[in-house]
Amino acid sequence: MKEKIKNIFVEGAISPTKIAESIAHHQSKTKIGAHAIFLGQVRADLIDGKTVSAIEYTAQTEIANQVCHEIREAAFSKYELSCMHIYHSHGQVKAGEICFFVFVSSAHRDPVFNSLSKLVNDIKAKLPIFGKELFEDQTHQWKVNQ
Amino acid sequence: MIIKVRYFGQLQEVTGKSEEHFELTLDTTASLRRFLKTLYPKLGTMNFKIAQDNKITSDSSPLKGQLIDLLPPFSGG
Repeated sequence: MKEKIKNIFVEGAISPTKIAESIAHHQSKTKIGAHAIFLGQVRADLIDGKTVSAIEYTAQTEIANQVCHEIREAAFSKYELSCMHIYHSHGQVKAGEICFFVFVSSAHRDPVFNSLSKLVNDIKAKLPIFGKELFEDQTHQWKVNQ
Repeated sequence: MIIKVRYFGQLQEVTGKSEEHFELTLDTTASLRRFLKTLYPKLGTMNFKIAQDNKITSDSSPLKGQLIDLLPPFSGG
């Protein structure tokens, strides 16, 4: 069965409560024996004497959700995963807050370890999401991924 | 053909716009790229991908979409 395309975008920061609730929802899924979670957090980088206070994310959301769907389907085909949850922030996220949440589950540990880094790297490389780094003095620069 | 062009991320600062309409007859996305770089010389120094009707396309693709998106380098996560 093909799943429908999900909207991965959350307005603002991803709250620790949402992450905790997402973990709790898996207690009824007792065939799962391993979870792995990646959390991306906004860094207060110091650039030319100025500190990043927040990142404002925009995106071409239709393409981002479509490409994420393809990445998700490819991961389900390649790895023995029970479930997968992907969320990314849209709008402003302050330094120290969570902007990116990838959560994979499986019966055993190898599929979650192996799939998680591939998923995170693919999402960062292939989704049209744009980060604007806002400094404390109201100036900004456009984020460049390493 | 009337096309709607949307600018994303820093390209909005370079063009001073988030979107605009053009009536154009161009054969490929490469031709559209040249047209836009002439209109906005600052685009000449920037890397961007072009999507047509919500699909990212290569520069050799025929220009047939009515919704064109200019996408600067991705920086999610």
